[in-house]
Amino acid sequence: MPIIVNLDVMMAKRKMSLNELAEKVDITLANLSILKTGKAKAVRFSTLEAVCKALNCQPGDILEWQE
Amino acid sequence: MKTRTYYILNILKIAALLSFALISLYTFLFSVLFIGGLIDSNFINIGYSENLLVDIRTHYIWEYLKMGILIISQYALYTYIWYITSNVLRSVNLSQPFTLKVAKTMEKISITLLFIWIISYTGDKVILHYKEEFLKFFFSTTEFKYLFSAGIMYIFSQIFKRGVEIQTENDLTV
Repeated sequence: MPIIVNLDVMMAKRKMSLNELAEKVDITLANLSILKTGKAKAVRFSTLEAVCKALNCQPGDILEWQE
Repeated sequence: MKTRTYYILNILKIAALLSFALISLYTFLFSVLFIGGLIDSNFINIGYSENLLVDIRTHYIWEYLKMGILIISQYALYTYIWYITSNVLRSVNLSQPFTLKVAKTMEKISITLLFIWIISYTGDKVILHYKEEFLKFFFSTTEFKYLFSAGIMYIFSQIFKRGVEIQTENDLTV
């Protein structure tokens, strides 16, 4: 899939751990891990909104399109 | 929530187990009669009042052997179908039934049905020249019902597999 998830980059920039982000976004660690490793097939807008809010960033900072 | 399907599946669990037990018993009894009949032709009189097997056993020992092997193989495959069906019905999680295990079992059933059809077809060809009523009694392939069932079952297994794929994709939506 040409959509790359840069969640780990943003988490490193914000110095936020996976546990902390999972708690703030209110999703399970397992689901967040699926998202972080790029295994997710789809992302809900509500999840994206919560992640952006927690990391104080734009959706484009997390998702990137590559050919 | 316990739906109508939930209750039907629970009844089917018992029905499948009962069918497995009955067909196992029948296969076992037939095997005993067949082997006993090989040693002594009077032995099969106990089980078959029609005397068809007795006739064949008395006059054509090789035909009897060929037929016996085909019939036992056929019933063994029936037993196998009921075994895997009852197994999958017992192990299936009704809150999440679309699993790869169930899809693979459906595929196995379709392949087994295909084998049953091959055996029945062979049975037709092997003993076609002998007795019409015997053919009707044990093998009935003229309608191609096993081949048809195998095909239908295979189609359903593939649709089911696609269901598993969709569920997996759905599970990976974060």
